[in-house]
Amino acid sequence: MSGPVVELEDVWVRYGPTVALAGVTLRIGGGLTLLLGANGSGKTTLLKVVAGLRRPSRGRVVVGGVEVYRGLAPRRPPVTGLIGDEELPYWMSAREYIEYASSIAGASLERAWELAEKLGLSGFLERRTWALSSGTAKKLLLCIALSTPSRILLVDEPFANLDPATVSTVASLLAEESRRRPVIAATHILPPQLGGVRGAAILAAGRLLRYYDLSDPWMVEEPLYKARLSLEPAKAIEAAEKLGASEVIVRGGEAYAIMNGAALKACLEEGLCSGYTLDPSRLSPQAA
Amino acid sequence: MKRVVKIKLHRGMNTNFKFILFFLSIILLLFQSTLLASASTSAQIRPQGFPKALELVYAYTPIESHSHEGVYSHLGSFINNIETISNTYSSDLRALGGLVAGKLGLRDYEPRLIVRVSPLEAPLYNESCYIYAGNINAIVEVWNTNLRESLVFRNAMLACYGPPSAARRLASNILASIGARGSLKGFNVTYKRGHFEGVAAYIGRFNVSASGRVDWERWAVLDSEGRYEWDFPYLLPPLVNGTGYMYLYEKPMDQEAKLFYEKRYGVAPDGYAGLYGINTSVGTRLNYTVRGLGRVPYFDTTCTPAVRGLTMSAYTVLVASSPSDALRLAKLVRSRFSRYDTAKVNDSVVWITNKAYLSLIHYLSGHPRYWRVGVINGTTYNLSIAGVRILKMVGGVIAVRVDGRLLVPAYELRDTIYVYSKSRGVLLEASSPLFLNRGLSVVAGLAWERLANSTGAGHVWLSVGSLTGTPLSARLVEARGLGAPSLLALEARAGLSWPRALGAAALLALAVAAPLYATRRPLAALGLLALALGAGVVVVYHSVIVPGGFRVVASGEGGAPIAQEFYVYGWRGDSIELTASGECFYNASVNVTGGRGSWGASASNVAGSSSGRVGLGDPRIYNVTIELRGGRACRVLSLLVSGRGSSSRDSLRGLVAPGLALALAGAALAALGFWVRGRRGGLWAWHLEASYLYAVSAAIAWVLLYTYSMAQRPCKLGGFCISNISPRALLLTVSELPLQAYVILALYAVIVAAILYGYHHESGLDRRLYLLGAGRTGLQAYKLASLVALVALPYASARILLGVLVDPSVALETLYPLVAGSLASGVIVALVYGGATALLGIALGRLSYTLLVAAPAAVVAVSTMGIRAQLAFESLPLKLAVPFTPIPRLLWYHIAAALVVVPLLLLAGSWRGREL
Repeated sequence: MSGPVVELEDVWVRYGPTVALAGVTLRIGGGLTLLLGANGSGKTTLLKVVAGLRRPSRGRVVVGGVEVYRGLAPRRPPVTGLIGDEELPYWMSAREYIEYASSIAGASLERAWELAEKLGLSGFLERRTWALSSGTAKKLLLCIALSTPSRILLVDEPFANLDPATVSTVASLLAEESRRRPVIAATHILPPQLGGVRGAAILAAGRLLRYYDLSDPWMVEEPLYKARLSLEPAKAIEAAEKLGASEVIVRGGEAYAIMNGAALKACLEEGLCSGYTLDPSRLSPQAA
Repeated sequence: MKRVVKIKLHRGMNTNFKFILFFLSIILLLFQSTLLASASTSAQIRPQGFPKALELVYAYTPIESHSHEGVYSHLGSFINNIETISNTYSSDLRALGGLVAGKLGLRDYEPRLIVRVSPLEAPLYNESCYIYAGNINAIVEVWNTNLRESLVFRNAMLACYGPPSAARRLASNILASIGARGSLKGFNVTYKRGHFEGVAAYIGRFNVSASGRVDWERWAVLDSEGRYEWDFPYLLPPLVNGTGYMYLYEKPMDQEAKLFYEKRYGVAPDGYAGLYGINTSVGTRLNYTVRGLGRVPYFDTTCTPAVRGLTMSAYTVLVASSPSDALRLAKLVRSRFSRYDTAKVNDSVVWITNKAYLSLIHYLSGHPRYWRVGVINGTTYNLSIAGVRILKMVGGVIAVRVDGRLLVPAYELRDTIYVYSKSRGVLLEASSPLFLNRGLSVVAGLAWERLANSTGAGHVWLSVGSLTGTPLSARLVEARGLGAPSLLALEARAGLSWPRALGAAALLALAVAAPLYATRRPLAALGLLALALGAGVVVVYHSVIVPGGFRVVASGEGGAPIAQEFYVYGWRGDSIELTASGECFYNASVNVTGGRGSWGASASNVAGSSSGRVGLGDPRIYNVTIELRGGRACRVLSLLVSGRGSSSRDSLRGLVAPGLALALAGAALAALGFWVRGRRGGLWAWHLEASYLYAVSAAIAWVLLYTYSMAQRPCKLGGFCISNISPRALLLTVSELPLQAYVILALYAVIVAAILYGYHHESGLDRRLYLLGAGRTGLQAYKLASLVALVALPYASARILLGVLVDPSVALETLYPLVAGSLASGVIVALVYGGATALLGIALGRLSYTLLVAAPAAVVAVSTMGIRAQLAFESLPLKLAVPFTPIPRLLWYHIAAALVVVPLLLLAGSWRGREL
């Protein structure tokens, strides 16, 4: 997708005396964009602003070509997703809710059932929503959110309350979904399976500390990638040094190198790296 | 397994906000009525066209060679004129005054004073001042420091009491404000058996012995409607021990009372004030005068050893102690009238028995919702009542004396008082102390002025009941005269059918629970079932008084017309049916103030009868005037006025309507939801189903509130009432709150919390729907519709329910208009609230869901305020001119209340945020 799908210019949001977003200017393109930061850093508020749920006290927000907060009443941006509250219609079963939500959202039930199976919901479909555990409820909400068609998908804390296996699944699904449409995910968890990240915004105390444009991974100059070297530790350290890695980590007989985009490209091309992911520590506010 | 709600910063705020809203709502509910009551109090004492300060002048007029003497002079208007009063009422008081004057350094001590009662603010009794002028016992309580234009005096004593610092400050302020010269001194005077403490201290009770023993403590209290009344029970002990009591009051006139005055005297006061005192040991009376703007009936009084007392107002009548005294008194009064020529002397004003002793002291306010009566019977048990107009039997009997012996003081009232004479006498029946506290409906008032001739034959039963215990199955007010030229019998019955109320509550519960169960919300169904049953209990506890049938029979002889006036507590759909009969009456008419239409019938010199019907509107008190005229040759005139009775027509059929209405409404909503979902799915099915939960919650809340409000109506008539007492009185009497009040408040809390939670939940669902792609416009429309449903359904349901509770037959006969009217008015009211909220919210771009969280509380608050405002304004002496008559007056009250509440909600919403 050419050009940004979400633009925020000097966006301020206040909750009473608390400043939730302080002058955030950000342009988000296609693919998967991560909003990273500690609790209370403003990730969810930013998603709400994008979704049209929270009018900023100042600033301009354009989502999918729609200037959301123009005029008195917000205009509806082309987004769906999962943000904030996790209220469910407690009188419905999970199956009913999927059917119902799909009918509202115009989603494909086939896709919903497919997702439900992937997420391990099959055994819980007949339960009332109030009887679901928090993790299962989260799966249900993710199932519906992922199956809901829209131009842009917003997800807030997609990995919270999930078991590790489901985290991997959800990460894979988000990566897969990001190939279809822009996905903006607010999280402070970076599972290894979370591929296809095209941007990462680091937030702290409502401020945008840094935005990493990862649309072309090979052009990333900062050592954000954590690559797994397919060599013995000794050789791996030597190879990493040759590639210009900033750091080598040896753990349990496996070696990981922290490197920038060019080094990663070379590593992959030379067959020295068997996989890579973003390094959470490099994407922390402290590092930023 | 339970879901764990994710807690984030804003969620925490959300929770806090929810609780803040909740508590604010409760606080608002608790205090708004009190605030309103205060507002109405202020309004009552400053009606338009009413002097800001009533002059209050009293004196004693020498009649015979007696120590109680005085000169009275009235110079006219009400400001800056000087009244000269000379009074030697009490040498002790004079001496006391001199003593205090000496303490204060006041010399040249002239007996001159204008006593004015300044407009009353909320009184702080512990910071009041007395002003003593001269050697009289003129005592004014200065309620605030705004005395410059309202008090003129020379060389007076100022004594403030209260906490020392407050008393001193108040005294200083008063002196400064009136530009008086003088010095403040703290003093402490003990005088004889009493004590008198001055400026920086508390003036307690003081006793005056010798010829006039006056014993008082706090002798003026502002009652719930802005009137003064005695400080019960502080003033009654003196009555008991025979020392006397005093009270000061001030009261504006309402239109009905004015009409009454005008009709009777040709002139009506704008209001009246008085200082009223009794000294039973010597039979002295402080009189009071009635004045307002313009010329008003003007009376004064006297006191002689023989004439044991007289208290006069425009139509208060006291009876002398012997025929000769009575006649002399009558002449005196007439002469006074003649002298001042401000009122016509009317035989009906003074009625004299030839054997009566001191019989009755009666205060009449002219206000149809206010009455107070005391009865003291004569030695021969001859009833001596004349000109007595018992307007509302609400407060309680003050005291009953027979042969001067106090039988039952008021504060010792228990279940029933019987004061019998065998064939002629008085029966006053008060039901219980709760009678004083909780209010009591009196179905009808009674007035007769031509009760008996000199034979004194009379027989009166006054029987009233309370809401506690057994149903008010029978009330009888009857007067019979032996050989009397007129006879009036009024029979009124009222009853509360417990089975009916419980049955209705049960049906309400079923109506609520069944659709909920059908919509697969068993837990909610159970919860609401419990709530509904609780509501039923409250309904029963506070249940409305069921006006039953009544019957008034009046008859006369000769050409004199029979004119009777009484009051009926009626409900929508009630009617008064009239049958006039006689040998030769030629006209009979009935007018119902506040009713719809009037009825008149006539016949000429023939025996016959006629009948008619007057319909009543909203529940309220109706002033019914009937008049029957006959030709001079007529021997017998009679008129029978009867109202619809329901007690005898209790029927289970009445149960069906409210429950059925609710059940149908609920089932319709639920079925519609199912239908929509089954047909096309979508957002509206969800909302229809979900909204019913909150609608029925609000329905119950509304029933409670409405019942509560209705239950307060009789309280307003004189009994105890939470909303009709001053904040201070509330503090003083909080221990006397009936248990039911706490039950009500607790239920308030539960229901408001439930609704708040419900809306909070609903709001989360809304967000979820929004994020699924549901249109914003649809969501907002839904919310507006929810608001409408939230109000309209319970509003209508409550009206239907209560209407049927009151009179099932009426409800059955007029079910359609009742339902339609209730729904319509509910929708109108809902549109006012919801529309105003939504429009303002949209206009400001801040229609947050938190606004809707607060909406139920707003509905509760505004509705209650509206009702309270209605009650308050209806009790104003000057009726509000409603400029747009097609619109129900209640709607205006609601609009006014909404104008207050909605902006507050908007503020709350904007503070919380602007989500969705």
